[in-house]
Amino acid sequence: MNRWLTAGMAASLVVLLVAAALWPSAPPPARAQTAPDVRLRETEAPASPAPGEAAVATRLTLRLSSATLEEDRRALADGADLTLLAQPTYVALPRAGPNLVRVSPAITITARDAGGRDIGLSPTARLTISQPGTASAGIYRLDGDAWRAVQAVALGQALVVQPVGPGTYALFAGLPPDWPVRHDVLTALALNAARLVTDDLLSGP
Amino acid sequence: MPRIPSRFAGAAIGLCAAMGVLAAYLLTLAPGVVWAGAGIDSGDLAAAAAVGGVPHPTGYPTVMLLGLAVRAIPLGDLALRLNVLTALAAAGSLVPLGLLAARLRPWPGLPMPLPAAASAAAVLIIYGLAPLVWANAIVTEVYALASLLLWSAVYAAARARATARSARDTRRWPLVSGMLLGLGIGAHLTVALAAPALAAILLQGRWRSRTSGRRAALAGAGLVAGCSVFAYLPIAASLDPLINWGDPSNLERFRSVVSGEIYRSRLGGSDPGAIAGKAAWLLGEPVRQLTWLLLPLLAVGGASLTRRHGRAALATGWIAMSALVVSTLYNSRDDEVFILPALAVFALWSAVGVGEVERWASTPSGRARRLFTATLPALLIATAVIRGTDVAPEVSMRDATHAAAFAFAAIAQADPGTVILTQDDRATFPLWYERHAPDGRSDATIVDMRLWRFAWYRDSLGRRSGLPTAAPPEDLLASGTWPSSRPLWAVDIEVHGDRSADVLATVRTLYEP
Repeated sequence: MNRWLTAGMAASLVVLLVAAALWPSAPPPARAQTAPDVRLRETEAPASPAPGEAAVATRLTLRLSSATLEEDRRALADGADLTLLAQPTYVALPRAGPNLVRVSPAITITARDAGGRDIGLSPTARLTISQPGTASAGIYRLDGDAWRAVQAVALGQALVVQPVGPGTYALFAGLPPDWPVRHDVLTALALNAARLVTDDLLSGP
Repeated sequence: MPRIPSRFAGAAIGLCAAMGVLAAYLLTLAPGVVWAGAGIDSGDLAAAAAVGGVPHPTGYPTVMLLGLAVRAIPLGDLALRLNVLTALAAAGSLVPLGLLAARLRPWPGLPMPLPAAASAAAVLIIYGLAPLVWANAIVTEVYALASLLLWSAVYAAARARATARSARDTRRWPLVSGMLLGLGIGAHLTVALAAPALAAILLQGRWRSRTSGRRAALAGAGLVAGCSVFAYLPIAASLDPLINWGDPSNLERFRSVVSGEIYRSRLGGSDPGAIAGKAAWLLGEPVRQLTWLLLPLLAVGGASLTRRHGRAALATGWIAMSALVVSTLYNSRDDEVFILPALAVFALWSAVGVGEVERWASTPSGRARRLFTATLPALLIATAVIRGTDVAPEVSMRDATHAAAFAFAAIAQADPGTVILTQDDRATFPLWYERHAPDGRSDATIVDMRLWRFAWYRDSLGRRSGLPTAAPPEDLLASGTWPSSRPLWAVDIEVHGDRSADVLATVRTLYEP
């Protein structure tokens, strides 16, 4: 093939690729899953707990709506949302020793008003995590990318952090002696019926 | 200047590149099944390999047969073993690319200067460390193996065209090429798009001649032999495995699985603007993935190939174009992965471009060019190293233990007989693997509600777990006809961010005895 023709074709290809690479287009959305995306029905959203109801057994997500808090006579702007999540996202502890549980559900505490601004937590805010059968458990708070132990008081089978600020907390516990170790890279502590208790989380009347 | 004998040049380029990227792959390898980006299907593939079953369409029989072989190795977790297999396949795919690059360079019969070989290897390493390639090399997926088989088939076709030293050679390479193509189709159906490219190489020259006809017949026979791996699907399905997508035990269902019938609606789209936008984005991907540095080499290599090996340029151009078209028209979570063959073509052309630059440098008057070729290897190797360190944190799945931990904890909590309802791949696949892996909890049942509408799925559930299948579990629960002894849970998945693997998995109790 003619040398100039091939050179011209190569140059055209380069121009085309450069133009496409510089074209201000975002990655396409899409994202259909492997299994066909057919939802037979929408699952019901978890119900909010009744005012004063502290423990939510077996349900790992606890979402307190503003309506619930209003009934609880706590001041919260309309549309504000307080979220407590005991989320089994299983945060790995990179340098956990062999006797430490490397993976644990984390609890995220956020409080924002309708404008998305953080709401201050009460100086007396208290977070209680009740976890039967985890005698050597400790509560840790995510600080940057490291987990730091926070002072917690043991009350029976519950651990109480007071005061508590917004952030991500996790319960890590020693491994029960009869727990089956299945993975060499992680030792997961299965949490039965995580119980969360929160008191006076919001500031002001 | 040290030179590599021409017969070893391709192997040296390919093996050096493969070793380089393999180290990176193993350092960032996923420890098991994952939620992240490219690896969501890993749980499905690993679970299917664990039970000798049929994974999601198109069944991937070549991957499954290799998975069964890997399952027989009594070393570590099966999912980890499959991840290692994927990494080996991904790194191995650079070997045929290296062999092709050496074969298609301007003077393939002459010894190759070491700097030129190092540059070509660095180009292939840059390709191997492209985020899309890397992400699909460190967790169980089908694309790495498909790439290895595709480029091995292309190389065998090139050998078939060039080699005619003996009658055995004449027979062997076309047969091997066709067989590798067939096995590649068994790894991923899109490899079939390379068939015209192979035909173009094999039938080069006087294509109506007796030699060409024989070559085509041998390649066809090899293709049929390679495609025989699809027999795995009906055989496996007839054994009623625990993972049995589409139950391809009869001809109708076999056709449905192999053709990916349930995904057909994802092909094409009604909005031309969206298609054009996606096409433009995908067309820019090679530059974003392979760095701007390769662009001049790509142009030089493309021009060189077009002039010296027109059929090879045409064939590889076809592979790249068809990959871009499929990726544009198909809409799924991982559709961009279909451009992987295009990235490989661009890397191959760039590696050929290195040879062309080296040819220019060998002219007596080219002192400046000599300087340029002396710095080229250093520049490319530095780019590969910088690229690797840059991309590693982005793609690394070394700490991706979340999916396995979720599945482990969820099933460990479950009382005997628990039924867990899922609606998302991120919940279903890790749970499937945890349930079906060796020593899994055989009394727990995972029910993906998206598959409930399929008769084969309900039949299998009823047969294997004793569940009533007259109505969905939640309807049975509402009507009070749910089996009173079986706890019923549901898993909700929330994904934060567009393509993020930041997943919130929540287990809800719907019924406790």
